[in-house]
Amino acid sequence: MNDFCLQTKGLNKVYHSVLKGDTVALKDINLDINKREFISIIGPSGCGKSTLLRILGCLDKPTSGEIIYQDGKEQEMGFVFQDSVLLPWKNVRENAGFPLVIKKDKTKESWDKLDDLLELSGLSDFKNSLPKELSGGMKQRVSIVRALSYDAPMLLMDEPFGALDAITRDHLNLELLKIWEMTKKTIIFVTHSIEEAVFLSDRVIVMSARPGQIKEIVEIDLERVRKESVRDTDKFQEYTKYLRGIIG
Amino acid sequence: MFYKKHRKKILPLMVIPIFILIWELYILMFNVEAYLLPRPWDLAQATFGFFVNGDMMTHILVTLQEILLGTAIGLVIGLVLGYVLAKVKFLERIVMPFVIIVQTAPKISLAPLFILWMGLGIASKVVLVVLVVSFPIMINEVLAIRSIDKDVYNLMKILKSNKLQIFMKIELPYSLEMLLSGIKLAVTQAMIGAVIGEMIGSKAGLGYLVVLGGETYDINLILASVFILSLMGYLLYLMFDIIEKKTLSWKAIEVDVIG
Ligand SMILES: Nc1ncnc2c1ncn2[C@@H]1O[C@H](COP(=O)(O)OP(=O)(O)O)[C@@H](O)[C@H]1O
Ligand SMILES: [Mg+2]
Repeated sequence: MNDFCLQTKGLNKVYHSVLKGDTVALKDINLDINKREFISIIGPSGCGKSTLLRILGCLDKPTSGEIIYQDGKEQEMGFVFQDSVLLPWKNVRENAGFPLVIKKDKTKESWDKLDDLLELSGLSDFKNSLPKELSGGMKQRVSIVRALSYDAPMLLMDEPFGALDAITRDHLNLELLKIWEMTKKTIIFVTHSIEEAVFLSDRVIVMSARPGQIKEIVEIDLERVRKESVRDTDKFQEYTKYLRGIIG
Repeated sequence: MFYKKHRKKILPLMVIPIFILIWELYILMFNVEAYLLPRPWDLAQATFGFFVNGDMMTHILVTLQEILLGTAIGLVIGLVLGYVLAKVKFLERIVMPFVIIVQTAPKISLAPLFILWMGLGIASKVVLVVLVVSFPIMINEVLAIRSIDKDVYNLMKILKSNKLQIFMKIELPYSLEMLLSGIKLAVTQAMIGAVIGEMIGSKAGLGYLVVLGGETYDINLILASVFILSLMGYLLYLMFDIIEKKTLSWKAIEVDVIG
């Protein structure tokens, strides 16, 4: 039994431009995403991944088509951007707790949970540090904790680890899975790394460019809970090889 | 140890005695007449006299008042106009070309106009300072608001924040950041505006004293006024520099002219 989280029907997105003419960023996107699912979207750059994610997060409107949210359009969503977009004058804890301030949530429970999340992400010792004192990986951790702080059931992530080195990236992948297993959120994760997509996801949505369309949806049938060692299994290798073939 | 710790402050200070020495030697060697260039000690005594016997303090306060009042008003006007221009796109498209034209014109050249309109008092200088200060602040405010990352706005949207929160939590802090780093330059510009206004037409202020000194062949008065002006400018700069460093400590380090 799978609760659906959201469903898109024939989403299209056209960017109009006087100079360059129209760009069809998305064409006929039909998706069914289940609750508590980990979905990755992968595809060459410029194929409309960010556009799709922004539309799913109601940050942008589709030109045509519709999205049905099980819990309504007004449900809470978390969004992690490619750049961490921390506020430079706020320290780590203030940045991570910023949504609680905006939502005027002063309950001890929420702020205690925030501290737990900071602890879980290894940020406890940096609560009072300013963004300028943090490495790229740490900043992105803060921005993830920020997106989790108000316990939205759905988390949208746009290449959150794209700018990080491979080691930090693998490390954060594991942490993200830990958080996902604990909180059981629906996560939609944009990436251009095939390994990352296979390692994290229940399903990988492969997109093709110009116009941005769904090429194939690949189910990743690897054991949960996933450990680092999964990467060395033949099955993992097969999936990455297969995906590389489609994207090629 | 003491020298090493304070080297940055000691070295510039050493320049002063050397400068005075060269000055003194120059007068001795070339027999410069006192009405062309006074000896340092004589100038110091004359300056002291201007404070004790004359009303130097009043003139300093007049100039200071023009600078501070004009800067304060100019900052507020520049900020408000800049914010409105940045938020209302079509207004910006209409107004900005004219702003650029006025910005490139030397606003100081409007000084005679203001003096004609508003008289020799303090008001005409304040208006001149307001004009000099508000334009760059306005343009910087437009840029400051424009430079806020689009994803910061997206973040606010995903958090379902209201307009007031966006203003208070995002736009205001970014504006203050611009303001605090722009104010040092603004206050320097303001001083130039006030002094030139005074030189063109006034009854008081340090600019007025410079002109008066020129007309009465009082080299001591000219030099004393210029010296006090430089000191004033430096102290104002230093003050806002310290305020900036204290308030913007979260900012990444940048290279500075002084300090
Ligand atoms: N605001 C915009 N205006 C015009 N064209 C855009 C805009 N945003 C994206 N595009 C175009 O839409 C296409 C998809 O962009 P994007 O969703 O950012 O791709 P991806 O995230 O997969 O790299 C690109 O061709 C891009 O140039
Ligand atoms: Mg993108």
